[in-house]
Amino acid sequence: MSTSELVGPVAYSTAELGSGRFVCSRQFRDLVSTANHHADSSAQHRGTWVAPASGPWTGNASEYVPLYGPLAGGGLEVGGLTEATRRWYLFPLLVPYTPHIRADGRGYRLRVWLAGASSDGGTVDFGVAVRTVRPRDWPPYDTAPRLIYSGVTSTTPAPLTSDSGSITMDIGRGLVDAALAKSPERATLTDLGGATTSVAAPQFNVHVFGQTRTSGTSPRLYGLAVHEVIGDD
Amino acid sequence: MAATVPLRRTEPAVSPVSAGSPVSARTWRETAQLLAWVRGRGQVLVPVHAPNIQVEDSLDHMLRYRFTAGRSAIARVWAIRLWQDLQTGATVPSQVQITLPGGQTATAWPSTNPAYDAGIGVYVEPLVSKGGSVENVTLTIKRTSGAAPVRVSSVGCWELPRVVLAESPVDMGADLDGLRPGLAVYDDDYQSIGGVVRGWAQTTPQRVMWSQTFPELGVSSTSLTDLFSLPVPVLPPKTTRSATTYSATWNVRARVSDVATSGTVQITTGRAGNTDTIAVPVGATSHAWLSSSMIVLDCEVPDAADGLPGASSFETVQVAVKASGGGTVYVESVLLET
Repeated sequence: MSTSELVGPVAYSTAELGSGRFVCSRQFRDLVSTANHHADSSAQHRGTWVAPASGPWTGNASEYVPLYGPLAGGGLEVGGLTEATRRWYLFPLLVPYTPHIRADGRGYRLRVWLAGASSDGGTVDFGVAVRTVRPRDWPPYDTAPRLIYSGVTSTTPAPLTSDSGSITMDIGRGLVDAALAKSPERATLTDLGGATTSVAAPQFNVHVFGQTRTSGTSPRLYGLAVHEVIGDD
Repeated sequence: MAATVPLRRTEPAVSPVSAGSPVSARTWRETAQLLAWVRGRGQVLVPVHAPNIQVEDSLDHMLRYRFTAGRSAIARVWAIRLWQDLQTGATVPSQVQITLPGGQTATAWPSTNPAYDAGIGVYVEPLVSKGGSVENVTLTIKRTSGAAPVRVSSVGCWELPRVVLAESPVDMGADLDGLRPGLAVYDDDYQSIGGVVRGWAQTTPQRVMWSQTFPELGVSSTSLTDLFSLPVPVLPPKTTRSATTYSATWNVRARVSDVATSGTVQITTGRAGNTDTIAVPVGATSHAWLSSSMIVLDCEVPDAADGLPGASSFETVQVAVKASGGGTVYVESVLLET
């Protein structure tokens, strides 16, 4: 929810709040409310992608992000997972980001939109998770924020509804602390031409997983949006 | 202490601010810290997307982006994920060179097993000047050795957070040393309450909602043809207390196939069905960013838990193209920003 008392900015002129002028408490409350609103609105769209439609494609690019599954010989294959059912794999699309952090140490909430389909009508599942380190297995760990979209059979690309019905993931203080502990500070300058210093840039990665329940069927990813939002208290 | 940029935002409370009571130094100070946080933590310039561009030769493959840069940033972070296919004939792993928009180069070895490997290349691009203006930038990727085709599977860019803001007209940092209990308040640039008030008067958060590049998409139909498989979810911020919509900037990078062809690119919103068009000039056979235009979107609702303007309803946009003159219109990048 908004941290702004007025849930929006209030325009003011600097002359009204300048020297020699009386400033009433209402004006200053408006200023604080505006500041909090602008901080809420600093939430960023961390990832926004939708696959181009298949019709207008020229050239040989795929209309979706292909999933790579293992072959018997240990190799990789585009598309159909011929043997490994009920096993989660990463899609190549990965959303790294440096989170906005609230005053109480929690990250801004994430609002997630996912679009997908089944390659041939077999049943597939999707998952989205926020991690601080490289993932390998699903689930990453019990407390990690995640959304699961199971039982997708349609071959028509469409936005998916998570099993919980939620479109948001809370970024808890523990996860933020873990990101701070595991992410190196990045070298920077104090200003253009200034002294060398470093800045804390905790990094999360938002991963999209897919699995099939039907041999030969592939989950297909057609869109992903990951937006920060101040969210609920 | 100057105008240090905190890692965590502050949330100055309004409840202590009431008629007859002095405004405490703590409230002023937290408001100044929040100003530094909003101006100094940086914004996303390219939301992560999947270009799906394939690099299978030693030529330069250019990914084109456009954005309005933040005013205070001094460095950008590019996150680039690559993988290579060693299963379809090629057995010699590829190595690529990435050239950032500022000219810095880096060598990358693309992943061979993206189903398990979540590695991503992170490259910092120092800037030579501060921004605040519209920039057209190019990210260049080329194969320098090997034979396996390399696919660019995700790209994103954001501004590296600042450590401290300068007390200058660009950064608008407000010195925190002057906002301590017991000190007099006064009206001066970058100092005391004058610095806070002027800083906030010049501060509006920016948001790039959608910036996507892809292998050029061609449309030869004379009827509008959707470019994307689904409408794209976006949400601009609320800019006044009563606002329910936002007039956002959009643009495309496009060309036509021949001197007799022209085109029309149309954007349509999902909630209100608003539309706007950008013309692709006749005979413009080289890709170029066209004149930016505006589209009215429903905006975020800050007091909703998910921020959506309707029950589980995103604002969305779809981009469609049509050609005129017998040829084809090609689009290779789109942008939607505040």
